[in-house]
Amino acid sequence: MDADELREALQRAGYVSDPALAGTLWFAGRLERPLLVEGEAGVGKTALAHAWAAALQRPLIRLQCYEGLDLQHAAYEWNYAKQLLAIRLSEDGAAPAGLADLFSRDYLLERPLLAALASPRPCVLLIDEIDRADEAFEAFLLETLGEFQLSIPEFGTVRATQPPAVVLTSNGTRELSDALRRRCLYHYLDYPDAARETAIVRQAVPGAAGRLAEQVVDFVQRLRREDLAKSPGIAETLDWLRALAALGEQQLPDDPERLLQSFGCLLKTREDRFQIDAERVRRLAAGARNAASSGV
Amino acid sequence: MDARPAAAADPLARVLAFGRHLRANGVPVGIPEQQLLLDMLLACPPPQHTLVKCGWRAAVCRDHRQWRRFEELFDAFWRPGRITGRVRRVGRPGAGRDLPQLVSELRHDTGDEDATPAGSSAAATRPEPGEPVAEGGASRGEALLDRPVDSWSGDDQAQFEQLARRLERRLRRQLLRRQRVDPSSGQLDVRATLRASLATGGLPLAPTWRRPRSTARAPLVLIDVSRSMEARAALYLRLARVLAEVLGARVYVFHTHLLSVGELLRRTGQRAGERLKAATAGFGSGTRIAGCLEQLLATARGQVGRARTLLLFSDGYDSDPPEQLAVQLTRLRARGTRIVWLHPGAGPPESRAVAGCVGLIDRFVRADNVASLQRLAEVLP
Repeated sequence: MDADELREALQRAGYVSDPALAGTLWFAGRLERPLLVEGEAGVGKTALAHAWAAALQRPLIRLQCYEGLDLQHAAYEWNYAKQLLAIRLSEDGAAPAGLADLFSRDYLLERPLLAALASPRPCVLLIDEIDRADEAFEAFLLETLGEFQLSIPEFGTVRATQPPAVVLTSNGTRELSDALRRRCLYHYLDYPDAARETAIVRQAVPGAAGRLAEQVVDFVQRLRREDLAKSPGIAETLDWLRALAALGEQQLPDDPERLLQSFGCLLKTREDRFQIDAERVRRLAAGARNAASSGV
Repeated sequence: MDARPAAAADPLARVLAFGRHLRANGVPVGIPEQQLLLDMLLACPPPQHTLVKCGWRAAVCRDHRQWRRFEELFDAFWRPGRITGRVRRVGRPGAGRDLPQLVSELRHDTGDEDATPAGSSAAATRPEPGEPVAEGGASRGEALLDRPVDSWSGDDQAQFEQLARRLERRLRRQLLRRQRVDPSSGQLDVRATLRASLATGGLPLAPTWRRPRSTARAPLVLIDVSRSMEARAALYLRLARVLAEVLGARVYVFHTHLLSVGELLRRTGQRAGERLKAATAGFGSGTRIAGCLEQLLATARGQVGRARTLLLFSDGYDSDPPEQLAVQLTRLRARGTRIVWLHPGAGPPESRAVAGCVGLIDRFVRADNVASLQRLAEVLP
């Protein structure tokens, strides 16, 4: 599969990508390199991993990162209950259990990282929001990302038979270490331009009127140019379009108050909601309607 | 005899030269990255210029800033004819280097028989004997070190970032909470221990310990944007932006009153830029350093405290009574704040206000070029 074919496969999986992103993904797959995707929340980083898995017809294994994430939740954990049971059985003479046996694969609980490495068929591993994890966990990941292996002190090293395709996402809330970055290919995912966003919403919400979809996209593109604490992402655009479609709108209504009723889909902070008043909404909507009617 | 440098003819050397060109412009390209560039070239099906370009971009860029700059650096090296020279750049791009031709040559060198060896078009793009070429992306970056800050351009942001990272390493890490018993040992994390005990049927076999956490104290940055500092304020603000991003510094500007601009610096976009300009461009009247420090102590008491470092960018000219500055600096020091005064001149400010409080200032640091700013990392406590 070359880069163009991968782009088409992503499209079939519901993800509209630009050639550069498809090319980067292709290189990541071809060179077996993890891909670090950075960008604002809601631009489609996580969806990219889902689409890549679908395009490659591989299972997706997801590790959601958070502060305090540790080895037991991310990589592996010993099944202590089973080990205790084995010891008791051994004491009763019901089953022999040497110390080495207690730390065999039978007693190992796979968490996402180990599951991805041990998977008999290639998979896509999504390490989501890596910037939320602690630095210590980030350091732990280096071995997995660089060598596709995991060292378990009591057991040995587990090497991937089929290296997983790895996608790491980050919202940039914390600076990631250089060591992690240099093991990955890097892609910055920005907000899409109007044409690509229109293609995305048409694919995701086929039931919405075409005129409404264009106006919604144009409105959101204009809204992103405002000084907002949190600009609406693609997910917000889709939510808003679905809300307007559910209200039976065929195009953006003239009454700004009607638009404001569904603005909870777009603006998620009180500060932004306060800043974008009815007059501002009226002007943005008028601009979007004019642009859509003139085909700009 | 062909006087053409080997680097200009050998495709491998040209890729390596491109790596050095990137490195000279602040993109950290080491040997593994150069190897990756070559791997990508060889993995690429016959010359696809755009595919190689996006692959290389993904290979060498490590953050959004480098990501945005890459296109320009790429064109400067491989397609110098397209550059209109709007931004000054470190290193000499050299005569045109044709990337598809390079791919072809490289594949030929590595034994790929399908690839066409270097042809006449490649020769046409090679520099003539005696023509200046980018020998290994030769850097003129050192010249920047002594260039006054008011003559820097946007490309020099990388210098600031390096400086900010050195500062980050330099800032002493502080314990978030002091523990009464033994700060070096941990405390039992009951919640985590109970959570872990689920795996052992409720028996807490493996107690979890809570380790004391430490963090670097972000500095406070105060920038004088009065008339006498107008020429340098913009670049100090640029440095402050990097400090805010990398170190989480709190940034204020002041003239006759104090204004927090940290949030504006963090935001991107045209409107944020306009607000920042509005916040600083309207200045140009007098300076009330003492009054602004008093305002800082009144409104941001929580930010001036133990182990904080205050970076004060100012030429020292104060319209408040000279003794007032000493009073406010004494109050700051009483709260445990270390004060580093960065001055644009060659020597410490000679104003009466500053002369009266030299003993209260931990360090004076010259801040008129990169070399002097780099010393900032060394003098920080």
